[in-house]
Amino acid sequence: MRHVKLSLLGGFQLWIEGDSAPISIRTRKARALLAYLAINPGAPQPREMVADLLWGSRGQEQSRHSLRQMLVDLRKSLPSRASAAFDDGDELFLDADLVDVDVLRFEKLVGVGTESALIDASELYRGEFLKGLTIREEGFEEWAAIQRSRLTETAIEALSKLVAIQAEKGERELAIQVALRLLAIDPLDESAHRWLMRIYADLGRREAALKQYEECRSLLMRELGIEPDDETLSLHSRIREGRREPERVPEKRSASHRHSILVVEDDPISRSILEKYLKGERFDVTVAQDGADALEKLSESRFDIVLSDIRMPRMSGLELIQAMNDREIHTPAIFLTAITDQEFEVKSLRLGASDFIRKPIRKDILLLRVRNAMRNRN
Amino acid sequence: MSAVRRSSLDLVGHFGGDDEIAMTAATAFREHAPAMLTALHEALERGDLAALADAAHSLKGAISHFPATEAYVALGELERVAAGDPSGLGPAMDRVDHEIAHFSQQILSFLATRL
Repeated sequence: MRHVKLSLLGGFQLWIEGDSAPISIRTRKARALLAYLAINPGAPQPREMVADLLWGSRGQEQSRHSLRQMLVDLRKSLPSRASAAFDDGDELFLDADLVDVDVLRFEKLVGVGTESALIDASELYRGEFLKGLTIREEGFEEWAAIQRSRLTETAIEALSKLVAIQAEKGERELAIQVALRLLAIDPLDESAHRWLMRIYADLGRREAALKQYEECRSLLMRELGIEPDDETLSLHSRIREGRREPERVPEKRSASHRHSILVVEDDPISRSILEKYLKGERFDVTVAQDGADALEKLSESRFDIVLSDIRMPRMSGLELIQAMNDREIHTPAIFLTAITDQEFEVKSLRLGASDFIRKPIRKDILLLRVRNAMRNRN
Repeated sequence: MSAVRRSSLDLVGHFGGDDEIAMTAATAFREHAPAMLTALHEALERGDLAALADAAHSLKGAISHFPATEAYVALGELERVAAGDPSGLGPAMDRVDHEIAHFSQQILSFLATRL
């Protein structure tokens, strides 16, 4: 039987099973520590690494001392049933048998993928990971941002599957609620807008369907400066003209319309993966090892998009876009950035970068951003 | 109470069920990660902290594609230490070696199941 329940989605809460109220964990860093250990329960984390994660800005000795002190305070403040789940020897970990973590249950349910599992998963996703918890330490913030991004994308994926299942089964009111939840997470999710348009139209609520389109259109224009994609425009036309939607078939891309992408990345592992992602979607891909290599290739061939890392030897992404401007090469450029590259993002935007994709890179996000950039270019 | 490190790697699941992409990623890691790790050690031996930070950043970017959070965190820590207080370089490098070795073993086990 699990003694401790840890909720990390929508904010931090720690419960002892059977109690009516959560336990108050006084300091943010103590909450951060428990969250960090909870994502990998049973996996021991060296003390030194945890100290650097939570107090990296203070130097080694101070960070070790701060961790020791916090562990003493945490042991005193946790009830014995919670304390039993927590091991603070040379390595720190939470006992996987004694701790129930909502994130792990959420991921398991999404993996199961049935309608009932996805409904349970959607109920677990009460909001973004560790909402409201920041500790202003770069190491922890970077780790938390990655988890947040990963779990948000998982939630979007789960809700998207659920709305499709419910709409196909004719459970339209339920599907509307799920689609509205999707839009609460990502208001720019065009497929969620389209689901609402279709379901409203199926229910005979034509005005609601058209209003949903207008909401989608104005959001995309305001936030991204783009029009809705062809599928949304086509759906809007059919609803406006009162025509039935044909059987949805996947679009076939003809060979004569293959777009070319220049991938600029010094790390060979990332180059291989990005190339595989893009070639699988029938893009023509050329790779360059750094900005200087990219500039050479740009002077020899035309590309539809440049997809570039920022920090590279010989010539950085920032230097590349500056050089492209100097040579009047106006190929749209999308940059791949880490959480700590924010100042480069601002500089690159000023130099005319089209978009950014934050690492870790998900294939679906990559393809969406590339297609948006292609559309804007056209 | 046992502390068990996860040894199995659901790489195909991590890449959205795409076996081909998982194989490409695993093969690329097996092929290139040793040289990237060597670059870290060589920079450390030379005392070239800027090159060490760059090499750590590059390998961290590569690792970000995989379910290897501990290795990612260790590389991020090495990158910060290289840019800040170098007295922590030794332990930070040891952690990177440990985590990359563990992850490399997982990759090899994954690839072995595909032969």
